[in-house]
Amino acid sequence: MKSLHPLLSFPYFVAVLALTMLIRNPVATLGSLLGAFCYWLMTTNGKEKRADLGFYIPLAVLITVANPVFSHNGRTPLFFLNDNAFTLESLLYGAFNAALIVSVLLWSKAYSKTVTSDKFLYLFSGILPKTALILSVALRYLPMLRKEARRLKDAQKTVGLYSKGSVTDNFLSSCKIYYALIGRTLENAVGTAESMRARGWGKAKRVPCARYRFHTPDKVLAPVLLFLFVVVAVGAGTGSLTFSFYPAPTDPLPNGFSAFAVAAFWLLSFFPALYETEVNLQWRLLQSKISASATPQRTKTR
Amino acid sequence: MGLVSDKVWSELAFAPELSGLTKDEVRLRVGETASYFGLRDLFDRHVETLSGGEKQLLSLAAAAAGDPVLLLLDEPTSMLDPIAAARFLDTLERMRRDLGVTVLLAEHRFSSLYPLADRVLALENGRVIADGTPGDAAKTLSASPLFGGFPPEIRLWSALGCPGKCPASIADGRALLTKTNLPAPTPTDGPTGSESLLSAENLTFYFEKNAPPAVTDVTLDVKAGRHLCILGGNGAGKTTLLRLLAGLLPPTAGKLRLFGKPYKAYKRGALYKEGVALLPQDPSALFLKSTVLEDLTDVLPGKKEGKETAARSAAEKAGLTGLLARHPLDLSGGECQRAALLKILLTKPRVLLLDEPTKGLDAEGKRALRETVRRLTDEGKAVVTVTHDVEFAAAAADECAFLFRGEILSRSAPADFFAKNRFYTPAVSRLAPGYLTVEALAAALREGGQTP
Repeated sequence: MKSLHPLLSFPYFVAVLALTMLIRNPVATLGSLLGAFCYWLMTTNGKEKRADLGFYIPLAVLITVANPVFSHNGRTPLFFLNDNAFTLESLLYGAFNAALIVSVLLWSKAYSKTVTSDKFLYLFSGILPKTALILSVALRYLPMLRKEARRLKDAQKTVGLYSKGSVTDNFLSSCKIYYALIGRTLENAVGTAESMRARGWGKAKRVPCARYRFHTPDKVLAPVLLFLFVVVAVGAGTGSLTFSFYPAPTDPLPNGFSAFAVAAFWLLSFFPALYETEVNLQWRLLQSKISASATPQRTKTR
Repeated sequence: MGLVSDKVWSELAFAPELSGLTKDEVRLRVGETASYFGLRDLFDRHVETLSGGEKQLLSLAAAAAGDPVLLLLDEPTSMLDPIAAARFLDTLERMRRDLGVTVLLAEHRFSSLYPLADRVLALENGRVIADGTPGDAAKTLSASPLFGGFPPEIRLWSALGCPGKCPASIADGRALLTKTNLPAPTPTDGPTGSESLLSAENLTFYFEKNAPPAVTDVTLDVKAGRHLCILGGNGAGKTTLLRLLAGLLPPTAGKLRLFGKPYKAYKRGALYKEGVALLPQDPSALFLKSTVLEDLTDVLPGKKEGKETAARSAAEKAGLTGLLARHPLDLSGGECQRAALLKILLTKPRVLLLDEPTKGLDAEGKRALRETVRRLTDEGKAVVTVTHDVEFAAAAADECAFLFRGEILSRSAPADFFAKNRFYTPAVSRLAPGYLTVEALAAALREGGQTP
């Protein structure tokens, strides 16, 4: 996914996020969740996976259980809690909401991993060149400020700030440091402005650097993805994907077109995982060719 | 430094994007510039993750990407260590030769770039006091205080009465010496043992669990009345060691003691009350207020009026009265360094830790710093300096240590220490092994007679 042109990956993620949030059909949402989950499996390392699971699982459980505790709609009571029915439909609705929220979170994570700030800026520097540049300048300031604050704190510690150890002293010391930080930032901004002018800012129209090229995979995949999106959108628009949990769950595939729309949505959701698998397979294949052609040479030299 | 963007590549693209090229031409120019300046591996990095040397190289590259005919540089190497500075100057020199760019560079630590110049201009109080080829300027300036910052071979050449052509390298300087009989240097011993103020025992520090340690098994004794200089290259762990000694980082293993008491027993900043003080690498971090006077007043204990008079008289003693009303961020590198040292000294530390204190100082500033350190050690205080500046260490230290990959490899008195080293040794010592200052060498030459 990372190798795709941002003109493809950015609208893709925006579309999938929008569809996931708008389509309230359990079969479709399941596809979105599984697709996002597969891509998540491929793009995170062990440490990140553990931390993520520790967050998503309790969240999902909480949402699933919270709904039937507070909402008593539905036909099939499972048991009674303080004279209130704990219904199957309500539990299902909770599970559906949990799946929806977790898949939105997973897609957002996938978006931020794939469409980095560089790509975002690249896309928008054509339409909003100045805003994009200001964003790029601002993005530099955040880590810089954090570093500067740390430096000031360390330097001040040895000359008496933060020395009393009380909460008020810590607070006042931090205030002093943040106050000084503001002055430094302004000073820095003047330097940045001077440097920008020295390099020709304001003299000519800015032509953004062409960092990304539209390669063959981009050209092939763009119409395919667009087609899938249109099918899903038509399906959602014509009511082929409407679904209701209350009073009893309705048929998730109400008409003939529903199956097409759901299939298209599943394909769309699994696209990142499929693309990644394809790239990995190709890579393995190439690797094996490289090592196959390299082995005889190596034996020769020995 | 004047960097603008968040990423290395966008920094390089800044000027080309504004010079009326097409998108693909911009892309080519950026790629070409990155290759020429060896920035390929840094291309996608965030600017704030770069080291000082890398940042400076990037700003040179970003300026070069705009295709300039004239480059103006204001103290480009003052914040760099000698190795990064040499790399920067090499690149600059290559650019001048390959691209025909005119370079106008202002610098007060010019020893390493003097031989590269075609023309030298010296300014004093806004007046030109010398103008000409490096050789002519050296002759004109031989009596000026600026002369202390000249390359040793030129100072030696001048001390010998300017025979023949002005030497342009250490090799030329050696050629000057082959014509003379050089007596062997007489080693001098520093003062010996006294009470230990700060001690570190098997100090080890890891930034990350799986990374190699930044400081490995360091055992140090900082004695009253001694000046210890710790030398080492970039990333050797010098700053980390100093921050450990200052109690700003918790050691992973090992013990730290001040006046025989473990650091842990000092609660709530008691360590810094007439104990340890650190002059950080960037001394401007010590100033938070809008004038130097306010900042100096701030660290003193007691009532307000008394504090201000005390701060004023301290500044007068240090010869810094002129700086009191100035904004700390408007000070030059050298002024800031001196004001910061004064502020630190107002807290009356008994162990003073200095991180690269000669950064941004000219020859005169370094001499003043040497005197201050000498005065402090004479008062029975201990000073620990970490520095790249071998010339300063050779002239000012009672004891030198070499740090490599967080480990102390050797430790001895300067004369002994620098005689053993081949690279980490003052340029004079490379000219004539065993000599640590040009003055000593020139004196020896005068005594030994110059004629072969």
